[in-house]
Amino acid sequence: MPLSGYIMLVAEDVIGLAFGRRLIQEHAALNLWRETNAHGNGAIRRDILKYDSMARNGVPAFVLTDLDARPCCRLLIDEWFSGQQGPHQDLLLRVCVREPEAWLMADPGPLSRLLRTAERNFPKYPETLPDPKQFLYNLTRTAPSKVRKGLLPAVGSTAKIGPEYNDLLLPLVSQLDIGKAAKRAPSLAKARQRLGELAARVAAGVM
Amino acid sequence: MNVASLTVKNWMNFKELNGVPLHTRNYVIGANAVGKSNFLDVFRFLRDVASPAGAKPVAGGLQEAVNRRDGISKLRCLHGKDSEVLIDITLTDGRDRWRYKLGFKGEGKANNRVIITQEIVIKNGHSLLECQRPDKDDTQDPDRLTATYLENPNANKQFRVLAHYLSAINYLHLVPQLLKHADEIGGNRLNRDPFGQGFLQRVAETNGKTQGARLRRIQTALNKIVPEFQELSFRQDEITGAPHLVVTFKHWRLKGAYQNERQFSDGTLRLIGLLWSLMEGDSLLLLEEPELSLNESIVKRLPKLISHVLKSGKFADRQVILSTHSESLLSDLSIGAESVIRFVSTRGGTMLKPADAREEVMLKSGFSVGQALLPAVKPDGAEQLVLGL
Repeated sequence: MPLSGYIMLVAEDVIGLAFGRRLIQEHAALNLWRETNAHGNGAIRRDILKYDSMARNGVPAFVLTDLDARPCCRLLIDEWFSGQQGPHQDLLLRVCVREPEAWLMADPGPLSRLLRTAERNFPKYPETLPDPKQFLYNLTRTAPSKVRKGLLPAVGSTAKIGPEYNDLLLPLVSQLDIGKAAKRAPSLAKARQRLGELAARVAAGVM
Repeated sequence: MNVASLTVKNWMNFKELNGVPLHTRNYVIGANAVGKSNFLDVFRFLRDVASPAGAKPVAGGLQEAVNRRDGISKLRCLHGKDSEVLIDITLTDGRDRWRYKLGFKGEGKANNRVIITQEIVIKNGHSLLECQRPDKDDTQDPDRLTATYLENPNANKQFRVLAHYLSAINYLHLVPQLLKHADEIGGNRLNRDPFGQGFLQRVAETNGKTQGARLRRIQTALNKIVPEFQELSFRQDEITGAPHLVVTFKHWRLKGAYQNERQFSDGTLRLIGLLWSLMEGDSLLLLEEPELSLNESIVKRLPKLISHVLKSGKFADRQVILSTHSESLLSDLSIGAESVIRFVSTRGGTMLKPADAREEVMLKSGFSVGQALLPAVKPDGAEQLVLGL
């Protein structure tokens, strides 16, 4: 099948998917064909060679995974493609450093309004944070109690996020200035750039 | 005999479904309310029509089958302007190829009976002269058009095999609570007992040797899932005569503990019902969402379990049509896209949606039908469900 602009989006969680949608929407040549919430990186890693095969057969895929505690992106890709040819150019395997929460903080405007905290309390380069989610949790001290209770897991719970975590943060993805965020989050800028290159290939009909 | 294809017009959600091919195993998928159960109901309807009036355990016939579905106005498709409902089914038994076509509509008078607009039986490409309706007799006596030849043993001699096959179609959507609380709920049971309320009665009516053999096989299967599950047997209450399934559970006491169906988990009961149905009969089996109440690891193995039970019961080719929402059930890589019947809702009624070119690429890349085909029937608004409340 010749390369088309209908792209498959895969991410580890709903916030990752929301960023993926936002980035794809920037290009008229690209249309979101299908999205998959992989619920963590286990399923992405398991299926990565299948996504690669799809890309080789004309169905591009934008796969967004989190770096989490790994030292660097290159190592992650090498590990996933060990003994194999690297990813095809139409499989955009992008690593978010370290979690999509860092990208959310890269344009702190919408998040600072939700948490009722000053923008200066956010780091200038959020990708340098070792644990962006924890950093965000620490910022909820000044937030209205409804927001705090929605974002934070209950005390003593093993849950990773609060009951309304996704519902509260999802609207912020469409509110933030993606250009501004990309200047402060290099992995976001790189993902944007690669999607731009794919869009150009699709527009030019290059296979 | 197996159903090879089905065409329906003006049937519930379906304005028109043309030649849906059916295989030995069929998996019906689609969003809620798209018409999966109504698709299965076509086969149940034919079963109801084919069962002759006064037959046990069901009084059948066309009028009764339509009445059971609240009349022709509830049965017709809301999207269609046509008043005729049409079912056209092709069946094959390896030797002969049969086609049965039934069209009917409301009579349009006060009693609103249903009258047959066409009833045709074709065997190996040739119409059976005995069944090409309306015929000369029908024209002289229009009341004849209220009953099919299929339901009439005096008229279906040439295609009795078809009537037998259709009347033996089995449907199961076991609702554990109905079975557990059958005594309190009372004796009202729906026709053909689709929800398994009288399941224990069916077990009771099976002859001792067959009953014992089936229960032993179910026990072996269940023991793999629940290791404490030791011995499954059937007992009749000495005083009331009520049938019960009894199981011995391994326990700290030497003899273990006895439990009857009221103490079984919903999943255990559904699994027992499923396994029993697979071993009962060899006609088309319709299963409604067999994944309900079951652990995901068991759901993943259901397709293999179904094949295994049928194979070991000498009915390896028994046809099964099951409806499901489960990606786990469809993660079995032995399920091909051709056995998936996917329905999507459109402005003109529910339509069949085969795999498109990109989904074909997904399947060729090694994804399961659950991963490749199921996401397309996911409701768009599901993520906003909570926010909308």
